[in-house]
Amino acid sequence: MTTTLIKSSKEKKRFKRIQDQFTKSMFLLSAMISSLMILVIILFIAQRGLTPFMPDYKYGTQDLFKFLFGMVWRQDQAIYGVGFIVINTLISGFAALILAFPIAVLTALFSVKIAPKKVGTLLETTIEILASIPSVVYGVFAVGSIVPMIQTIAQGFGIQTAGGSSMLAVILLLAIMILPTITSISITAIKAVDEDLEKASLALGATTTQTNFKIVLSAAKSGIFAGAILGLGRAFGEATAVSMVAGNKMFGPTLDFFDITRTMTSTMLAGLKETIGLDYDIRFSVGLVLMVVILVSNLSINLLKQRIGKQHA
Amino acid sequence: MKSFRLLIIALIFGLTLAACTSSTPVEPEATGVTGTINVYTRDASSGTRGAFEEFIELEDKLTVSAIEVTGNGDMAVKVGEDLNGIGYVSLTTDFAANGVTPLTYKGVVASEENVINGTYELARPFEMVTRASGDFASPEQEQLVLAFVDFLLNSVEGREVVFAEGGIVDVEAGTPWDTLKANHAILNQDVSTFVIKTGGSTSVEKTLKAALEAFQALTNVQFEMNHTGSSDGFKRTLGAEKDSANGVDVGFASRYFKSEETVNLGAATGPYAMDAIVVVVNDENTVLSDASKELIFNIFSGSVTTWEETVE
Repeated sequence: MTTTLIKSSKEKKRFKRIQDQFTKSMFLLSAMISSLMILVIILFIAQRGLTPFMPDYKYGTQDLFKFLFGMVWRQDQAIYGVGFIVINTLISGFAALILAFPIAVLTALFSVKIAPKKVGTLLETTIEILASIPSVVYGVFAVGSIVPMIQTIAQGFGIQTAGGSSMLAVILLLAIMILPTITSISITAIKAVDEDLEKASLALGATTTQTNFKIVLSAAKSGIFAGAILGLGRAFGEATAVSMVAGNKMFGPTLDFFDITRTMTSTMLAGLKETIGLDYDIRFSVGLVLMVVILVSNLSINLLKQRIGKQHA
Repeated sequence: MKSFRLLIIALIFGLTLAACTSSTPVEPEATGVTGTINVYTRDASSGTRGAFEEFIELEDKLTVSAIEVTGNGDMAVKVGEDLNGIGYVSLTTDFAANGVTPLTYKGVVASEENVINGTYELARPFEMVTRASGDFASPEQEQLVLAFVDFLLNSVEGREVVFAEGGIVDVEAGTPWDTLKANHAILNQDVSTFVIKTGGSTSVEKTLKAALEAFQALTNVQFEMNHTGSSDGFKRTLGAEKDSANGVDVGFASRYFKSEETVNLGAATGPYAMDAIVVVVNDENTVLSDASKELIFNIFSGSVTTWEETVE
């Protein structure tokens, strides 16, 4: 009697272990699938994007050096230089981040810690709605309001613009687009801060404002920077809305905020559906460069985050 | 301290909101447009750009400071917003709604009428030619191809779909397909195994595909489009390549056939639509109302860069 009982409990344990193993491998499988997707995408883009530089490319081998550092992009003359486009993309992306980041973090802090509960919830909902607006809608908004506004401002300074299409328009548009992304992730991060930390700070005699800025924000640092990385990713990756206001300059880099610009995504998108041959393949090369740019920017933001952490520690 | 911070935040919000609403455009001066000309162009894969550069003989010579827009509508909107802008759109564009003024070309107003009667020169025909009579794969194939050509050239239905894709053609003057159909006994039998092969100009593809699809819906016939360029339109129906693997039933060119292209040997030939491009400026711009080929070339190639230079 006792032996069978023991046996059945042993069997139960074994069954549980198998169940556990099964669940574990299911998780592993889904993790594998999602990470494999990245690999498949990179491999596919790389395979197409590298062919123009191979010696046996059927539309004439491109010079990799000229491609990476070229300062002119003219499909009609088959001149493809991505160098100035990288610089333009970096300038507009980071400028948008610099504009949006403080506003986003302060908004998050306000809605979680300072505003009355109801106002806070209302703000959060508004921001979530903003984050879910499709980019083409932002593009239409930018063409209809940001672009004419910039034209007016430029006229006030006596500067002639291309009807308002400019790098400044791209930056403002991107700042508006990435604001909700950074804000909503910062809100989550600030909400997750341990209340005991705040209480300790207040008990030590710090004011609420001191606590909010020195304790809450530095404790939520990781999440806030994750928001910045996502926001920057969106800024670099936005194509539809940007190509509507950028003006797509054929040479560069653009350093004047009122001058037209060209970003990597707008370059990839323009006429994609109608083109063939080298002009089609080279867009994959631009995509590859864009992925490298995003990777390097994310790494440098991470470095910045660690530095800021050290200062506070 | 707290209220001070609130004030700052309120100010930031207020500023962003104010920025969104202050979009009333400044009234332009009545004296006319001065300063730099902003040249607008389509991206390099656009058929309209290809045709425009061909008309003006601008291939590879476009100024590097041109602003690239994403489509025909985008072009109209951007030039409509830019006092100093100049661009080109297809004739089917709604000029007034976008705030642009079409320029006359060599004194001729861009209208469908002037395009069809041939006086407006920024236009080109979509020409068509078939193989010679008796040179088709079978007599049935010939009858079927001629039925399609009749549909494309003369029927209301065929002209309608061509017009919808931007081809300029007088739809009203067409004959209902039901009337024309009676002339083609071949359509009384099952033709779903027949394939109509087309080739030639790539610019005709959009309008032709629409017509072929409309014809397929009526008759179940199959089609195969393999378009490589205007010069192949004659070559693959009546010329050197007609009996090779590249041979087609109907060839197309987006220009008038040349005299050495002896298209009158074909069983049928003729233009089925016209394609026209209009140079546009902002409707506040009174400096230019007419354009010559030379002036347009100079502006788009960058040798004339200010509006002042255009009136000299």
